[in-house]
Order: sequence, then structure tokens, then C-alpha cells
Amino acid sequence: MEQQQKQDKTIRKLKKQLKLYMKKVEDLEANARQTISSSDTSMPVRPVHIARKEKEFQGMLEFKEDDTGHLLKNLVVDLKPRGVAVSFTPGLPAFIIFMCLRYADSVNDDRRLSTLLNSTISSIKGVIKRKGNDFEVVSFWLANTCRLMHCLKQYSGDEVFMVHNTAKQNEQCLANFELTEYHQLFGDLAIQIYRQIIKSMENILLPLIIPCMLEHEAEQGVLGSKPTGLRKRSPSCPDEALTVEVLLQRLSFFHTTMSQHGMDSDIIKQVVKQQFYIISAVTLNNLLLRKDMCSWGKGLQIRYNVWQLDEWLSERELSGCGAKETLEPLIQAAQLLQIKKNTEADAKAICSMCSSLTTAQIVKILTLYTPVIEFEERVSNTFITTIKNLLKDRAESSNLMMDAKKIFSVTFPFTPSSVALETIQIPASLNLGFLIRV
Amino acid sequence: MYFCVFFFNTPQPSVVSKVTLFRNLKESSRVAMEFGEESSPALAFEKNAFELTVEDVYDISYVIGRDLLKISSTGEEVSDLQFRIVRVLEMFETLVNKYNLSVEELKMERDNLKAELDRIIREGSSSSGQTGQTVGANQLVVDLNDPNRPRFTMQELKEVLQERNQLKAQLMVAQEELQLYKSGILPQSEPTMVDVDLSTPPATEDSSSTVNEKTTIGKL
Repeated sequence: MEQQQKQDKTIRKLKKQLKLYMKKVEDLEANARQTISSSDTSMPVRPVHIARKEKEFQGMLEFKEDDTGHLLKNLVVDLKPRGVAVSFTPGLPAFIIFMCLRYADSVNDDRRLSTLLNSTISSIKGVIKRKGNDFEVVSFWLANTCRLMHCLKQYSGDEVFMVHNTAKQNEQCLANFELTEYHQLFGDLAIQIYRQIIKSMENILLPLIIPCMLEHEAEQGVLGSKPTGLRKRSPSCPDEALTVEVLLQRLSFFHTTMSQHGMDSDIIKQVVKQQFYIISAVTLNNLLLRKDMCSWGKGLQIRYNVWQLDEWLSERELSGCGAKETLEPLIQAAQLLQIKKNTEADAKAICSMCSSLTTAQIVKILTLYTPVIEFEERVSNTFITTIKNLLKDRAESSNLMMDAKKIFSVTFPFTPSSVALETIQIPASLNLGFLIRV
Repeated sequence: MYFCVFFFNTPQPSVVSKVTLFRNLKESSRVAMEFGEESSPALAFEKNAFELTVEDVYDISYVIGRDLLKISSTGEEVSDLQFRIVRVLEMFETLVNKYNLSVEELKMERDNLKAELDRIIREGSSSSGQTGQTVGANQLVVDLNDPNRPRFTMQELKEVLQERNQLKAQLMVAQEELQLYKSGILPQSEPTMVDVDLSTPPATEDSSSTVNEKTTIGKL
């Protein structure tokens, strides 16, 4: 009985507690629901797209100092001058190196900076040394070296070079280091490469100049007294007739390649001028040695070829580069072959016309002059003496030959670029995945 | 008339490394450009897809890059577009290169096999000049007028030999029995006719000899 009562009591007690706890739980749940619903009402009903803020790139490339060798191997030593990545963005290697430079500058690491700069210079030198005969390689690195040099100036913080910068570009100027010494170093490197490019072009052009400019005979009978059936082919190349067209094709190839590499137009113009000088000097020197080249018909042929060269300059919009002027001696020699050479008046005319030829050259041409037509006579000795007398007051060198090896000194005027560094992304084919875009 | 040509020792087609092949291809397309095929960059766009070379792809890259430079404004949008275009062009370069290489390789292999075929035909025809017929290895030329020509198949030969062996064995048995009768071991009754499995005339010969034997036995 007692036990039963006790048990009943316990049961009632437990039931009460249970009810209490149940209520508590209900209250808590209600609260929780309330808080959720209250927060729900503060958010918009439709789902909202959270836009990730676009990361703003600063136009730098993070690299570790140990990566420098790997970087330069892929970007300089092993890089081919023809490829999708480099054709798409001319000067890309220069921009990439400069973006790495900016990073080293931004973290104030002078050792990383100098390692990169010095290794770059030596890598480029190495490439030029090994592949100096490959015109495309040399042209590529001339363009990129100049571009790198221009970048150093453009982002130096020096106001002189910042005239054409955008605001963003001004923000990207080097913050901690001044690299003016390297402007000079890169300038010297560029001169070295320029010399090499002239050499490599010379090697390709030299075998062509004399056959194309002098030896080739045009087929039409209109050019002088050569019979129409006579076709001369250059002995060195039996497959194709070496006409001035072939020479122009080579020049076009050089010009197109340099343009595609992003070479500054100022530099291209200087290269073309140098090319034309070489053509002029080699042709004239050969003319001065060969009797069979000194005829009226040859004079006409040479003038025709020179006219073709001039046309080429106009087509390529290079008329103002000074190339035409280098052809003057050759033009005058050709005119000399055609002009009358009998009277005193003729002698005076010749002397005033041949301002770019030395006395020795004029006399030599007159001596060699071979008339093709029977009734035409050789130039008389008295005529030559008259010429000499008229010219004896000239103060000039007594050189007969032109210096075909002369290279005009080259300048690299500052050419800023409008490329925005923060927009550059590195193409996969360059295998530079270890660089981190910052 | 077709014949089977068997290769005993297949010589390897001349192995040209892929590197040399690639270099030759690149060189020839570059030389073509050098020698003034008037291939200005824009012309690459006009070409038939299957005639493209990697040099054309590079020219295309240059033109597109230059055009994009004209319209590019600052901002990520153009940068991403440029990057994607370059990626596509890189893939394009790989495909064009692979395609041209494969075509060259297949051509070379085909030419090698052709030369191989011609060589073997020539060799074959020079050896079987008299019959005017080309014979492959493991073959025999049979003159149908030759009395000693092979006429029976293997199967037929096997069957005939088996029969002969069987007959020989039965003959031996019959001779043994005869001996026994002669020597009087066996009773002098009608000699049991040996069952001979023959349908050929030799059976008659046998019966006549047994008659003779009978008389001989009778005499004893």
C-alpha cells in the first residue's frame, strides 16, 4: 500500500517534470523559428547572386630567385622567334621580363632584381652568339631588347619618358629602384645585336646583288641593243632567273619579319637604309672593275633596277628613311654610262652631274666604257683629260672603291608602348606556369 | 591474275626521325615564303584548311593580335578574350602540325611499300622467266603432260596404303593356316574358306591355288 502510494507520487512527479521539459522544448523551438523567420524577413525573397569582386591585376609576375634560370631558359634560350604566342603579342618576352622586374622591385629585393637583369643580358648575348646567322632570331632579339630598354625608361618615373603614359601606367612605375645604368647596358647590347643583324642580312644579300642588279639582262629588246633572243642566266643559280624581283623578295622578307617582331619603325628604317647602302656599294664596286658592265645598255638596266628599288620603298612606306640617297652614286654612274661623252660641254655636264662620284671613279668608268654599237667610239683620251682638269680642284678622297663594309651608326629613339601590363596573361605554350600573375 | 606475295624479311622503311621531318616541313614552308610566294599574312585566311602550314598559323596569330590591339580598351574583358584566342590558336598550331606530319609520314610509308612491292615483283619475274608465270614460295609448277606427275591426293594415297596393309596381313594368316594343313596338324576336312574381304579378281586366283593344295593334300 505504502509502496504503491509512493510509486504513484513518483509517477505524478515525473509526469509533471516531463510536461515541464516538453514545454521548454516547445518554447525553445518557437524561439528558434522566430529568429529564423525574423532574419528571413530582413533578406530579399528572391535569391541574390553574389558577385565575386574582379581581382584587379597589377601587371607584375611573381617569381622566386631560383626560378630565374628556368625562366630565362624557356623565355630566351629555347624560345623560337616564330610561334603563336610571340606572333600574337610582339615584344611579349620583353613585357614578361619587365613584369618580373616590377615584382622584384615591389618587394624591394635588389638581389633578385640584379640577378634577373644580369642573367637576361647574358642569355640574350648567348643566343646571338650561337644563332647569329639566323636572321629571324637576331631580328627577334633586337626588337625585344629594344622593347625591354624602352620599358625600363617608360616606367622609370622619369617625367621625360612618361609623356605618353596612361594614368595606370604611371602608377606602375618602378617604386624602389633606379635602373638608369641598365639603360646604358641594354643600349650597348642593342648595338651589338644591330651589328649582327646587318651581318646576317649581308650574308643573304651578297650572293644576289651582282647577279640581280648588274648581270641580269632583261628580255625586251627595248633595253638597248641586246638582241631579244639573248637570255642570260646567272651561273650560280640555274633554277630561277636572278632578277631584281628576287632581290626585292628578300628585302620584303626582311621587312615583314622585322615588323612582325614588333621592331620600332625607326630601327627598321635604319636597317633598310643600311641594306640599300650595301646594295649600292657592292654594285658600284663591281661595275668599276668590269669592262663588260660599262655600256649604255647596262646603264639603262641599272636605272631600271634602281627605279624598282625605289618603288619598293614607296610600297613599304619607307620613302623618308634615307635609303634612296645611298643609291645616288650608283644612279650617277648609270647616268654617266648613258650620257654623251664627246664635247667640252658634255664634260662640264658630267662634272656637275656626278657629285656623288669621286674623280677616280668617273675616270675609271669613262676608261672602261665599251660601246656596243659599231659606230659609237670609245671615250677619247683628250676627253678624259678635260674631265680631270675640271675636277682637279675637288677636295676629296682618292678612293676608287666604296667601303662596302661601312655600317652607319645606329640610334634607338625612345618609343613607348601603349600595352597595359595588367592585361597580359601568359600563353600556355611558353611553359612559364611557375610565374604567378599579380 | 592475282598472286600472293609473301614477305619473308620485311625490311624496315627508312626511319626518319620526327624531328628531322618537322624541321624539313618548317624549312620548306619558310623557304617558300622566303622565295616570295607572295604569302602575305592576310592570305593565310584565304587558304583551304587542309593546306595550312604552321607558318600560316603564326601569320594568322599576328594579324588577329594586331587587330585586337586596335580595339582593346583597358579591362579584364579584353584580356580574357585575348588569352582565350591565343589558347585556341595554340591548339590550332598543334593540330595543323600533327596533321601535316601525319600526312608526310603516311606518304613516306606508302612510297616505301610501293618501292618494296615493285622490287619483289621484279625479282619474282626474273626467276620464273621460262614459264612466263610468277610463282611464289611454297608453290610447284606442274606440267600436265608429264607421265610422272603427281595424280593422287594425300587422302587417296593413305586409303590405298591402308587397304594394302590389311590385305597383306590377311594373306599372312591364310598362308600360315595352309602350312598347318600341309603338315597335317589340322584335320583333313574341307579347308575352311578363309573369309577374304575382297571383291577383286585375286580371289579367283586364290581359289585355284586352294584347289591345287587340295589335290596335294589329297595325295598325302
